[in-house]
Amino acid sequence: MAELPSALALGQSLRNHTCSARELTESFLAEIDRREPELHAFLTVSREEALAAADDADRRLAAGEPLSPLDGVPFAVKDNLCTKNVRTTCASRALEHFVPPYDATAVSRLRAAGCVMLGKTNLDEFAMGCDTGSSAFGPTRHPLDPARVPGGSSGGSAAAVASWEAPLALGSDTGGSVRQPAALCGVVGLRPTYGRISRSGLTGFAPSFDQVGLLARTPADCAALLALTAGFDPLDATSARRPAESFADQLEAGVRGLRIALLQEGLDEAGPAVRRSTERAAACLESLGARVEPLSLPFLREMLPAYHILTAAEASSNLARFDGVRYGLRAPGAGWRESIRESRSAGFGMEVKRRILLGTFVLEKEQRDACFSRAQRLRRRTAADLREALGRFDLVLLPTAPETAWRWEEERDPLALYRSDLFTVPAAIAGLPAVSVPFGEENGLPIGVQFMGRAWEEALLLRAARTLLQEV
Amino acid sequence: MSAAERQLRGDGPQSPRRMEETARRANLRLNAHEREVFRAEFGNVLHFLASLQETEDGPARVLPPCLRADEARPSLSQEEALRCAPAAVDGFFALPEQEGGEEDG
Repeated sequence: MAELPSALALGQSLRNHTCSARELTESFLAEIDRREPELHAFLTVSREEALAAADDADRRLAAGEPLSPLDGVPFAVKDNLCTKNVRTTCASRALEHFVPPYDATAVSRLRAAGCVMLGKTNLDEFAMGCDTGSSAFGPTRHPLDPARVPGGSSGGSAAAVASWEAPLALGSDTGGSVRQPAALCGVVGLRPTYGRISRSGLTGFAPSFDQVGLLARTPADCAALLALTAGFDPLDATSARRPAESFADQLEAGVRGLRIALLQEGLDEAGPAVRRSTERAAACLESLGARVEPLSLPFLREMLPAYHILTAAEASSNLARFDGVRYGLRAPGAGWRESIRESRSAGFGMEVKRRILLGTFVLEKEQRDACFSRAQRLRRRTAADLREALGRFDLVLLPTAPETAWRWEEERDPLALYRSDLFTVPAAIAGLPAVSVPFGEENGLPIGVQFMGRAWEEALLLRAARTLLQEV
Repeated sequence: MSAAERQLRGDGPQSPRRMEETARRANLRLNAHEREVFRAEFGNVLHFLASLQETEDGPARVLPPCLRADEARPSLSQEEALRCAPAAVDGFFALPEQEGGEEDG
């Protein structure tokens, strides 16, 4: 990966007129044509639109009026973010032919910065999964080994960036859906603080957890992408009123003097190779001047069932909107009630139905206290514990995923798949930012380690990620 | 076995009757394969979910009102909104007529 230029370097080449935005876009489209038959990272390639946007960028660049450091640089978009006049399927039969009449705010902000959208990437259906295996249109393959999973649910975005089909990609992270595939594919994946990037136009799975996330090859690219997408949006009631930030000013400042917690449960629950990489990362940070100390979060294992109860409950309510009335698949039925039921039954796949059923069940009156309310209390407690820990430490270091990319042929039951979120759920439960950075490998497969930080301190996360990556 | 698990296992959604009832509430119709798979795995999934221990976190906090006032803002035109609809008549979303009233809640 190191020999490939970063997205920021591509932007500089465009401003230097070393190449044109059209040439750059055509080269990425050619790479998509070459890799897609095996990879299947994209569900839709918006070729003509991309070339038209590139031509617009070339006119601005020729006039010396770029809109941003990434003007003319291509990007890919997870297919659960709405794109005006480009179909948005959520990898579901229910939305196979849905063409939104508006852009998600994150997408419109990148377009306004001159970035060129290449197309829409594959995901687990409605972002429910961790390997793209629940996509109704077939899975994405790992860029280094097609027999293996790319992770998920933003597996298409991670695979596209890792294979250089796109230099940048948008994803979404409910419980780890950006960071886990970033780790498995060997790229940088950032989940910003809840409220940092508008969720307007992101198809909700569990809205109190969902965040638009970013995938790139370098922390500096991630910082640039965050600067363009972050900021208050009146279309999202949970969007935060924060002042504009660069996120890149401190990237080179190193880690000297930082207090970093090494999560003990993270080491205990990880596979041997992931554990070794995490310990090596801790040693590396210490050698660079950080103070690394152990931290225990006894509730780590319990966060996982709490997360699945709460997200299933939110999903069961949230996905009630997909009824084939206003948009999406409509199946015939004797009367409108049956038509709605048939539409949902024909449109949703197994994993989505599984979570809707679980969510409906845990919200029933008899189960509410035993499951839902208890999970809510654990969420509050966990968030308080993490806030307390991050009062004593600047960052928490932990693995991103317990293991490297597994083989498709290893059939896994839902619980085994749910456990792959173990290390990514804590930040999601507390609404905190976290970044996965590639550090180490096992048999040629990437390993990611993760930094979790205080709310609104993405710049510090990216600075630590940058420092660590320089040591690889 | 925790109280939550006992409660869940007593008549959990893996029982045919409860699964049908839950599916009906979720506006889903399960085929034979789905019923079989879900019945086989829901016991384990519920065991996993019920592993959650009770947590004391103090009294619930009352948050100050934080909702903004409703106000009309520019949005999609009626034509744009209807363009995605599977069926529309005279500017409205169209659905098959329900015979026999609207029961079946």
